[in-house]
Order: sequence, then structure tokens, then C-alpha cells
Amino acid sequence: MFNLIKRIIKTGWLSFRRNGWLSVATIVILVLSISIFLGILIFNRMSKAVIQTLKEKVDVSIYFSKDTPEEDILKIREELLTRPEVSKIDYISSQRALELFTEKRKTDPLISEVLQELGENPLSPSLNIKTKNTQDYAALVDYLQNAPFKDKLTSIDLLENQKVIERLNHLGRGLNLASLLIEIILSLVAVIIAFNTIRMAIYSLREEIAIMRLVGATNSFIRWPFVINGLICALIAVFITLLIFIPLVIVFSPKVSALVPGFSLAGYFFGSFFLIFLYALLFSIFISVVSSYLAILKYLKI
Amino acid sequence: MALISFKNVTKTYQTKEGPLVVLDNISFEVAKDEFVSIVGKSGAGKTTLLKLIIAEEKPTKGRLFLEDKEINKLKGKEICLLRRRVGMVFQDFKLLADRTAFENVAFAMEVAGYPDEKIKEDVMEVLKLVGLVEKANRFPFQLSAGEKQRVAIARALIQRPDIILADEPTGNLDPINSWEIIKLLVKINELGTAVILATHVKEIINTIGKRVISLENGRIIRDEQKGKYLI
Repeated sequence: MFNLIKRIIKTGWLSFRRNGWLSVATIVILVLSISIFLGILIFNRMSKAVIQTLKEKVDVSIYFSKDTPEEDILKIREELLTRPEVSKIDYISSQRALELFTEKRKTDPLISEVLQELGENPLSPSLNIKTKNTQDYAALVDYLQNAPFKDKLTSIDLLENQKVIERLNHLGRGLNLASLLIEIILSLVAVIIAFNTIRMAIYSLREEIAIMRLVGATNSFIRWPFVINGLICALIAVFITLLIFIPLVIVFSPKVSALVPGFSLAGYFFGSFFLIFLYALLFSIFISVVSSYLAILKYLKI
Repeated sequence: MALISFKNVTKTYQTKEGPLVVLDNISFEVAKDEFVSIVGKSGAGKTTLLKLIIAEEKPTKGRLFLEDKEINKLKGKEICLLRRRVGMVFQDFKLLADRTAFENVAFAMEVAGYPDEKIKEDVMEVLKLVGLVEKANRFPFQLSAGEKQRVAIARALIQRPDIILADEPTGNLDPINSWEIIKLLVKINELGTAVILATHVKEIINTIGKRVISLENGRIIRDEQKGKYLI
């Protein structure tokens, strides 16, 4: 058995080496297919990052009347944090709200004048609430409008965000559907191209396969060296693809970050390098080994 | 017991113009150490007859045997085992282009699972027999037509088959090389292996002086010990 395995591996390697151009053509196509596959992975991650960034920009602010004591607001904050849909709550005191406001409008002299004329801080303390999912905002608003502390509230600015949230949810679903469709189509294209190239390579060796059969080789003795050959091509193709991707990721990472704030291409690629390598390897091995196995079946009918 | 037996074998191909009978109710036997030439014009059915013996084709009617094994009933791995008992030599050599002469011959032993040492020893011995030891590491494209055919014969011989089938083995060779190949086949037969030679070269048949089966339109019209090419 060991002898047979050794012989099959040796034959597969010999066939890979001696049919140089066929091997090169197969590797090139596999590199293209793996590139499409990795492109899909990155696109998928980027689209999720876009949605996440947009979602993080959505929040609900509840404003308290100016005479509400700080400890009451903090107690309400603690209470709200126990709700399952709430992910984060920031407390902004009147003083902090004024600081933020003046910082934002420091170039506008009229605002400073108005504030000076008023002589006191006109801004209310508030809680800035973020939920885990944008769909949860509607339920949260319902709760806030009927909450036991509703008398202390002066306003809830969620209603103004409602349309944005709905659009965002719609966009998220659309993007998910689009990326799924693109993934399916491109994966199919990659698989079909690779499968056909391997099929053509094996077709060109059909005479050899016929000779092997006439000499008394069993189907598995003929088939496995081709599968091993496919495996070698798959491994080489993965290494070449990653070697191409590494400099591209380094060069394009700042540009992608500018386009999608909050997403670091290099961070994602190198942070998940082992996982990406594994995905690419499995994809490549799956395509080449399954293609070789299936393509050769046709020529093994005795 | 005869080595090969054909019993009322008919082979018909279906074509657009209707059924085409290539072999028509053929019966004959070949003994263990016999040298038999099958002669006939192109299309007489010689190649089909050889293909039936290696189970590359199945008969439409009738039965054929390798000793007591009914060839037309063999399946899967049994066919592989049959082909290891029957060496085949073709007009177009059918060598594996990406393997050296040594590797082409060795392949026939590898499929049978022989250990590497035994393969090395036997292949060199057979290459010596066909006079190709010096060119063992050459690829088919580096060999002449005669040398390629000798590699093919070495490959057919390596598993010590019960019989060698040679289908127009001199078809692509010049007269000198043709005679070398025929002499080699006769020598192999003298060493105890049965040979069936399919050819349409009159001079070769008339010089060998062995049994000749003449085919015409798929039928045996003559079967003579020490026969001549009389078509």
C-alpha cells in the first residue's frame, strides 16, 4: 500500500514536471480563480464594514429638563443599559454639551455673541443611546415614550432619525443581497473556468490514459496521479496568489481606508492571514482536485 | 487446453447506413506456444479481432476465452488483470510521451505492483533483450520508429505475458527495421510466448513459415499451418 501511494505521488509529480506548459496554464487559471475568490472575501468584508460604520453613526438622544439631578440621569442610564437591545449609552452633561457646541461653532462669532448675551448654559443634559441592531430603535422609542421617567424628558430625537434608520436597513439588506449574488456568480465563473482548463489539460492526455488502460492499469492507478498533479498545481497557485495580493494590499490599504472609513484592508488581510490562506487553499484544492477527478472519469470507462 | 478460443464470434457495429458486420461467425483456437499470423486487406477485421482478445471491444454474438476465462464476461479489475496477461504491440507504438524508454517499460510492472528493485532489474533485462539498454533514458521523441517499436515490445514482454498481440507492428517502419521487429517476435515465440501477428505485408508472412489465418470480409477463408499470404 505504502509502495502504491509512493508510486502515485511520484507519478503525479513527474506528470506535473514533464507536462510543463499544461501545468503552467492550469496554475495561471487557478491563480485567477483564487484571486476572484479572495476579491469576493475582501469585498464582503468591506461591505459589512460600510454598513457597520453607517450604523454606528445612528443613535437616539434623550434630553432631560435642566433641573434633573445628575444622579437621576445616571440611574436611568444604568436602567437602560440592562435592556437587551441597548449596546452603549453615553452621558453628556449640560457643561459637556456646551463645550462640544462651542468647539463645533468656534468659527461662527454670532453664536459666541448669543451665548454671551444669554449669560447661562441653555443646553440640556442628555443620554446618547446606541442599539445592537438598527431594527431595535423603533422598539426602544416605544419604550422611552412610555417610560416611568418620561416626565423628566424634554425631547427624544429618534423620530428625526427614523427615515435614516429605515434607509440604512434597506441599504444593508440590498448590499447583503448584492454581495451574495456577486459571490455566487463570480464563484461559479471561477469554478467553471478552472474546471474547463483542467478538463482541457486532461483531454490533451486522453491518449496517454488510453495507453495506461491497455497496459492493464486500474482506474485508481490512472486517476490518482492526475489528482496529485491537480493538488500540486493548487498549492503553487495559492502561494503565487498570496504573493501577488500581499504587495497589492499594502499599496491599496490607505486608499481603501479613505474610501471606507473604519476599515483597514491591511489590518483585515494580515490580521486574518492564516484564515485567508486556509480559505484560498481549500477553494483551490476543491476546484483542482474535484475537477481532475471528474474530468478523468470520462476516459476511464472500460 | 487452448490459450485463446474463438467460438462463433460475430462483431457488428451500428452505423448510419445500418449494421456493419466486421467479424462474421469466427471460430479458431491458438495454442500456448503458437505463432499465428492473421492476414487480410485493410478492413478485413484483423484489428477488431485483437481488440476482442484484450476486451477493448465486446462480441455481438459468440464467446471467446483466454484458457478457461470467458473474456466477454470480464468486468472492471478482471479486465486489468487480463491485459497484464496479454502484451499488445501497436502500429503507432502507443508509448507514453512524457516518460523515458525505461519508464514506459517499467509502467507495465508498476501497475501490477512490483517492488522497485524487481522493476529495475527486469526492465534492464528486457531492454537488453530488445537492444535498447543504451537508450533507456531517452524519451520517445528521441528514438527512431524502430527503437520505439522495440520499447513497445519490451513493455509487452515485461510482465511475462501468456501471449503477445502485434497489430501491424511494421506499419510505420522501413524494411530493415520491419525485419528486426519480426525476428524479435519470432525469438519471443521461441522462448515460449504465443504470438498473434496481424499484418497485410505479404513478404513477411511468406518468409516466417508459420500458421496463417486469412480473413476476408470478416470471415476466415483459410487457416493453414505453414501458410502463405494468398489473398
